Amino acid sequence: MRNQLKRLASAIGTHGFLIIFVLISLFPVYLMFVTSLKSQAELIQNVFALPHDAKWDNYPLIVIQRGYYRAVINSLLFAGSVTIITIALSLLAAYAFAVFDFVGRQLLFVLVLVGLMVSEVSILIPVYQLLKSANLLNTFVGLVLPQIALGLSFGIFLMTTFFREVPKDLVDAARLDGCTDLQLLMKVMIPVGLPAISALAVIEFLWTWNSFFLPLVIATKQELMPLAVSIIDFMGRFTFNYELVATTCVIMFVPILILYILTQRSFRRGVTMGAVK
Amino acid sequence: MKQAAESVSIRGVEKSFGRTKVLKGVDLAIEREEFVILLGPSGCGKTTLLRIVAGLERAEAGEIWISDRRVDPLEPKERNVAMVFQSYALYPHMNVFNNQSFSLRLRHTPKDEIRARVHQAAKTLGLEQLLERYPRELSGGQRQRVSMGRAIVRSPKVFLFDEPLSNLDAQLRVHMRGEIKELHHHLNTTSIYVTHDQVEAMTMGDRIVVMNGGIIEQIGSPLEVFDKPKNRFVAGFVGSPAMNFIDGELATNGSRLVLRVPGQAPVPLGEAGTRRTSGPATIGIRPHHLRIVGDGPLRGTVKDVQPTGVETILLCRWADSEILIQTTDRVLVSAGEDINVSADPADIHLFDSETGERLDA
Repeated sequence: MRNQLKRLASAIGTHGFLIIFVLISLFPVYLMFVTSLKSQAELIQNVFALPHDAKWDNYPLIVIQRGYYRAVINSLLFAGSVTIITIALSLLAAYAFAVFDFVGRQLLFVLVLVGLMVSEVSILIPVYQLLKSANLLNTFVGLVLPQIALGLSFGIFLMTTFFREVPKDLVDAARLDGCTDLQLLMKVMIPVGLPAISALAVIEFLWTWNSFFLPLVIATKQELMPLAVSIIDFMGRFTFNYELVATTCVIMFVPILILYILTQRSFRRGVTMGAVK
Repeated sequence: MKQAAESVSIRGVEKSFGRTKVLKGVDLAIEREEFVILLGPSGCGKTTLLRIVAGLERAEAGEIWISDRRVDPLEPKERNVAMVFQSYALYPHMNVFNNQSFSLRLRHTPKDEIRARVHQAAKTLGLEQLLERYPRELSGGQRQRVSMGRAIVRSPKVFLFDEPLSNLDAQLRVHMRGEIKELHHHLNTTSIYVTHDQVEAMTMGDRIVVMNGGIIEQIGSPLEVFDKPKNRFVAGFVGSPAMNFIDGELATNGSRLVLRVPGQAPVPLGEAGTRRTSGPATIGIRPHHLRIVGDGPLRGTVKDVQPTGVETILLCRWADSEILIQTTDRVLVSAGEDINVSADPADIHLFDSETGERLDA
């Protein structure tokens, strides 16, 4: 009886803690969502309450009437192409680092790791100058290239770590079975590495999707601006359209949520790889 | 599926990893259809030698020939050898059928032929019901059979086995030993099998190649290696429990050759062609050749009695020497008792104390 009470108290304690943790985590999401459904007047009256009359027309107002569908498309193209190219390049580089033995491999890998320490802000001005001299400011290529460069270090690091964990026997078996280097990558390493690739895809997409500084400086033209940058349109010097900012944030949030739901199994395996046998 | 077996010739192969020389000029000729075991302790170079034959490592010197074709400059896939790994090395994202057919698909073999060969291999190995399963859904024994199936669908000229049973439990290992032997009798493909397990070596091989420190210590049939070890290393490595070694001084007692052991009566030795009759020497006696007899020349104190049911192992000590006695008799001695043991002179091996080389014929 005493033990049962102890177990019950422990369960209530654990679950109570977890419920509070979940509520704290979800509160900003709730606030963002309810704010997006309020008028400015209602928002001022009560920030936290559910809207009396949900203003769903904030969404068509942003996406269609104010023409932000263009920013959504820009963001999808921007994040999509950066993710695909970064993964492709990371896979090739990681494969070389993990499987081949070549002179300077360690040094090169250390140089790649150094890239992890470079912050976006610290290279903003040189990148701007570089793109300007190459006539790539306000171009899609100019927007994508630095973002890929910034993401590559992490991509190569993650995939190299994963590929190094692929048993050597598996690589040897594939070679004996007749795989060329490219076949070994395409038919063995990539399928085996799918969990890590999914994790990298979600992280890279999320990171690019939310990227603000580089696009703010590089893409000043409206037709190239991604969604994250377009939010500044609602921030005037003396006014701040909270409900429209929140609506844009919800629009930004949904694709990431869908991507995570689609890849969550692989993603979880990817981010916990090596943690358990 | 059966392909004409080929001979393998390894000529003067050398290999180093950094400053460590792991193979010091290895020469080995393997006949067609032969099942040869590379046996030795960890780090002796046996797996490296196998990987050099497979093409997964490059030798610094020497040549590898498969029949009349020199293969050491060739890529692994061009050598037509198949390898079974200790870790099975199955592709985790492919089911059994795709694992087995992978090499054939890479070679653009017609689909009908692939299906026929995979099903034939599956039938041989009893895998027909498992073709749709993934490696994670198989037991260790089933995985190893799939690994063998993957090797045999290719009809290779040479099979290479790299400690394929080491990851299996003892019971399954015995079963799989039988299956591999049966497979060899069925396919008659030349096979090289690496192991550090001497029971596997003794029961499976046509010939055993005992390696140590990057060289071949002895090549012979299992019983030859067991009965006539070429040197002290082979004598000590092959056989379980290991051979007992006793150091002493060779002398003649009348017309009889004996070994004088400090604190013991002279141990009479066999007559068979000993290379010398004096000087320091070491005798080797297998534990099962020692008998407890009242007038035996070696006297010591029993330190431990280990009955296993089938046999009893006694640990016996005198001065700083220690010997094992293995007997199927239900001996009535207990720890602390003094016993005398002897061995038939014909069962005593004689080695040079310094070089370890065998002195008797």
